[in-house]
Amino acid sequence: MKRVIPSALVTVSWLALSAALSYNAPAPVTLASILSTIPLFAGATMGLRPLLALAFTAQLPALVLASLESSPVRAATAMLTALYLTELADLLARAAKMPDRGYVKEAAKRITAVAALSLAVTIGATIASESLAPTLDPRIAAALLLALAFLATHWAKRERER
Amino acid sequence: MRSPQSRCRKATRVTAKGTLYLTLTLALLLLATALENLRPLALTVPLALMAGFSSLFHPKASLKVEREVEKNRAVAGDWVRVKLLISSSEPVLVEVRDRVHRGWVERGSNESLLWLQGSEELSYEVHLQRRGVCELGPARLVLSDPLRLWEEEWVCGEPVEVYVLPKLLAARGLGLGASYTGVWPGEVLSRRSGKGYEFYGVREYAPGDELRRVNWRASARHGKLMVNERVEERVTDALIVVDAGLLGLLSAQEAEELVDAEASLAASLALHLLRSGNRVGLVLRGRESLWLRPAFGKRQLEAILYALARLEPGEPAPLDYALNMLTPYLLKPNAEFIAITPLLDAYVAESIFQLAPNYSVLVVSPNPFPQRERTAHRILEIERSNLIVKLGKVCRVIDWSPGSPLPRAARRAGRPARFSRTLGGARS
Repeated sequence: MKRVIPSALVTVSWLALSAALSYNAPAPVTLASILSTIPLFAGATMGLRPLLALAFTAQLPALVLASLESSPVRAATAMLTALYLTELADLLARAAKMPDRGYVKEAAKRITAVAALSLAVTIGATIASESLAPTLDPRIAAALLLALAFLATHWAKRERER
Repeated sequence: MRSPQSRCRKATRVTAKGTLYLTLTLALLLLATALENLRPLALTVPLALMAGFSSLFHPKASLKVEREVEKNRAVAGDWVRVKLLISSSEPVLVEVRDRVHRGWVERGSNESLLWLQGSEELSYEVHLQRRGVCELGPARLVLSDPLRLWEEEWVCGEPVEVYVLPKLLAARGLGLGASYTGVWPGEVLSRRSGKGYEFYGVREYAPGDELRRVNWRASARHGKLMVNERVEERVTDALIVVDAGLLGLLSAQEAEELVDAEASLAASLALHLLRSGNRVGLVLRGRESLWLRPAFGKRQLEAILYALARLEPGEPAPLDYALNMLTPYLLKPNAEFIAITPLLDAYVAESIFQLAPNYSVLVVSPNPFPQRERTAHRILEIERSNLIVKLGKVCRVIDWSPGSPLPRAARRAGRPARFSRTLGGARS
């Protein structure tokens, strides 16, 4: 077990997120959300990355429920926080099995930068889209987003190959 | 020893995590469509943004790797130090893994997460516990975006082979009974009188004979000076046959241990025989079959040791066929034929049985079933004992438990019919 303190900090933050998401949620969702801290901590400290995917999956019902019942900004922020914490835990998990020479610190800075940029744009985008939401057909919105995701993936792949 | 410079191969791919991000986004889109509610779409925004912004940190660097290996030949149990110099044209986050095949990294690490600014050195030591060919390299370097949704894998450098030669055992006490001898002085008793240690006979004194050879009792009896004659000791040819086939009855680890013991024994015998000036040849039966003509010297010893380092359990062709065809071609009649075989194959025993009238045959049989409790192994052990008894009638068979001293097992097997000095024994 390596980097127990950073892993514990990530786990405590995850627990806080779980508590916030599962407030007034049905019991199974709450239970899954709270229990997801166990695989998260185990995965981060022991370098078992599939456990992190399990933790995120266990948190997903609470996130979906939050998106249905609360404001889009709040749901998107919660999702972003969950992603950020999972990414940090993933970084710690990778470092648990390999000696680190300044990689973790630098990578953590970059993940934080990515999360901060995403947070700023997420808040802006969700607030802007709230006014459009009632007038848009969900099927059209889904198709548009799907096309957008495909285009983004294609563009990123071409960039990589170049 | 530096590895040759070679270009790095590069491959880009989406990671499992990248696929999970995409799957999650699609799942949320489907959920929104199914519920006819746009609200779950809010969850896709951070996913897309995180992935997009992460791609902005895409590393663009040119990497170089140089590997320095302390030595390319070692004996089982040695350590070898490896240095890896990694350099990059730009600061980059990189995950390094240097491949180590057939060796244990016990000091340092062959993998690391690096924040690479300029160049970094990665050094580690490999414990070469077992005989074989240890491959070091190629190095795999992974560059990725911060979230590791994409990764760029660089495979750099050609693998360096380190030959791990077998450990040498005390192989004294095995007598050679060959009646074929060469012209050079050695350790095998010839049929001629000359310089040696074994008593040959008594003859009349001739001018030039050493005074210390005078047999005073015989001189008194005959009334003239008589001198002792000794049996001349000369070199011979020897062929060592190592049988590493038909080990399917054992587990992989047990088979490897048995082959290690056989290789150690063959290497020790070859060393002793070559040191005594004999010509030594080799026939191997394993995953790869190989044979070497009998020859003298250090170069031959090196060739034998390298061949034994490569020996792995397996059976591409039956050994009995190779023995029947190769032995008359490689070995002169009445020379020394040494078979190292666990005697699990009755056909091999039959071949040795047929060779015995024409050669001085010595069979060393490492026991593959020491202290076995399973009935199947007991039956196999009985069959093996029968083969030993059968072969014991025509040649010397040493039943040897790997790990125990070989000279003790050789003493139990008795002396050869025409006993000479032991291999590297009495005089050394």
